[in-house]
Amino acid sequence: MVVIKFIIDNILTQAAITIALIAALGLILQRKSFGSVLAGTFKTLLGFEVLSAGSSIIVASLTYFGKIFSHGFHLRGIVPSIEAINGQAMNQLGLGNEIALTFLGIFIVNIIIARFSPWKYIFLTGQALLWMATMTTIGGHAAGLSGFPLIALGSVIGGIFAVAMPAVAQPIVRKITGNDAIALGHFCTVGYMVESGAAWLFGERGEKKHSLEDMKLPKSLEFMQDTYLSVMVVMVPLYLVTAAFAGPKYGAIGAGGMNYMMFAFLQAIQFVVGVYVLLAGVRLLLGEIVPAFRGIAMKLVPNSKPALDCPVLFPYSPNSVIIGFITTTIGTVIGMFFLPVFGLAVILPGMLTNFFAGGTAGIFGNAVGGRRGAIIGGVIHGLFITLLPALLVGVLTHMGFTNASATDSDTIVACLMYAWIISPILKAV
Amino acid sequence: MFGLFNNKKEKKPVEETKVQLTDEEKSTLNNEIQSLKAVVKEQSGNDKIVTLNNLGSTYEKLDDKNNAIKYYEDSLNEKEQFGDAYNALLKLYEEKRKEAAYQKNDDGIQKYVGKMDDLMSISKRVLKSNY
Repeated sequence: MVVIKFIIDNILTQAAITIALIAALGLILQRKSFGSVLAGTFKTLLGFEVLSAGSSIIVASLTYFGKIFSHGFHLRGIVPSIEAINGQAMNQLGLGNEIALTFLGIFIVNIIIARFSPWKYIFLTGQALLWMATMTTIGGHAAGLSGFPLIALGSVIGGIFAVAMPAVAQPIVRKITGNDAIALGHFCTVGYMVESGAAWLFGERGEKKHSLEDMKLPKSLEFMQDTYLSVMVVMVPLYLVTAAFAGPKYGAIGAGGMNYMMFAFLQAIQFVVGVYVLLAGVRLLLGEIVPAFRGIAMKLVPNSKPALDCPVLFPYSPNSVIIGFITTTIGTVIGMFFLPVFGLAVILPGMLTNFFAGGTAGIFGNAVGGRRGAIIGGVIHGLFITLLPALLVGVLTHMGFTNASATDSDTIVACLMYAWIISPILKAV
Repeated sequence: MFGLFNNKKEKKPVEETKVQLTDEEKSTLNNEIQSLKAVVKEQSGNDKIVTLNNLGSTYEKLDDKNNAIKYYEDSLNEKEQFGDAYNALLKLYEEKRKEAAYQKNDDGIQKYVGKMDDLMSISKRVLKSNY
């Protein structure tokens, strides 16, 4: 009894162990050799710890940024970063175990729906599933759920999203790719549909419709060539300007005698370091789990339609990606200045989201409403993906998150669903 | 309701109706392949890519997916770019993945899903290097 109690209390409560055991399960079900199972399990464990370390670095940098921002501008400045939210939920709130089990649950629900319904989508973007598991767990936790109900509800909601989002996007994806072979598995689909709707309203139609792909674009986005460089290009000026406004008194908090501008510069670099470490952790963490489970999914649902990550659409419309990125960025900058007027927090533009979600949204806009549709739709998309994290801030602050909000629109919608629909129902019952 | 529980009636999806080639057409395509193979050895740069893509599409017409994949992959190895080879490979990998899934061949599934992942990495690289 003592041994079992020790195992339950001390080992199974550790999220790193839970997720490593999930990986082991996947590898054993695939009948891998003992050596492969052992190696995969430990790699996953290591990945989780690397992810946590990255998250701590990001949180330390964001805490500093939050302080100088509130002193510099007398407003709340929020950096949208789903990675930071995930790390904080796992480390500070101790929800790692629930997130890991919900992650597994979403996968199972996805397979069940694909097996027994006409919607054959299997969501293959592991990272996005992890973010969805994070946000449904946070939502459920905020609604007062815990333990099995929290995990079960999160799995069902996440699993439904994993099938519904590719299904909703598919009519337009079909138009883009010209066939029905593959689907889009990226949890920013609500945003893509907002862009498509705007493109349909304001865009070109019929003979007047001109595709962005007929245009020649200048080559001037070299800084985007490296993911981390592109984050740095934004974060360094952001920290420096904010520190300048905050002044030496507040800008040097924790600097230990260093010049406050230099300290702000190094803190911005720390943020990029955190993203770098965290994403390396995610790769390590999912490197074993995702192949194991997608093998299982494909065997159980052989006629499935794989829902792949957003770059799958880039080749069909490369110009739209660039225009989508630029217009979404314009929208997010407008949103940053505009939303505080309504008493919402200042959401700083996130370059990675703007590139991947904005770029893909651009493809949708162009497919639906041509050139004009993509441009107007892109700006509206930018506003929309700034509004969602701003709405979420209230929920997150309540739970003790530091200066961060989520990014991917579908995951935010799932979390807001908990806050606005499920939580009031639970309270009423 | 919504066809949710009609799984029993579910049948394997109808294979896309492939145009049946006559022996004559097959031999014409095979001849074409031989001459393309002879030409490709001498070529380089864009010409070589065009010929490799032609080889890929000719094999595709013959429904020889493995060879089609091989030549399209050679084409992408010559130069990573968006276009015929990329689009054809995405479709062929998915077809091969499906075949492997019906045969419950786990290695096959992993191989082709992995190849689709590689295509997406190429997609990111090409897009970023173009601008």
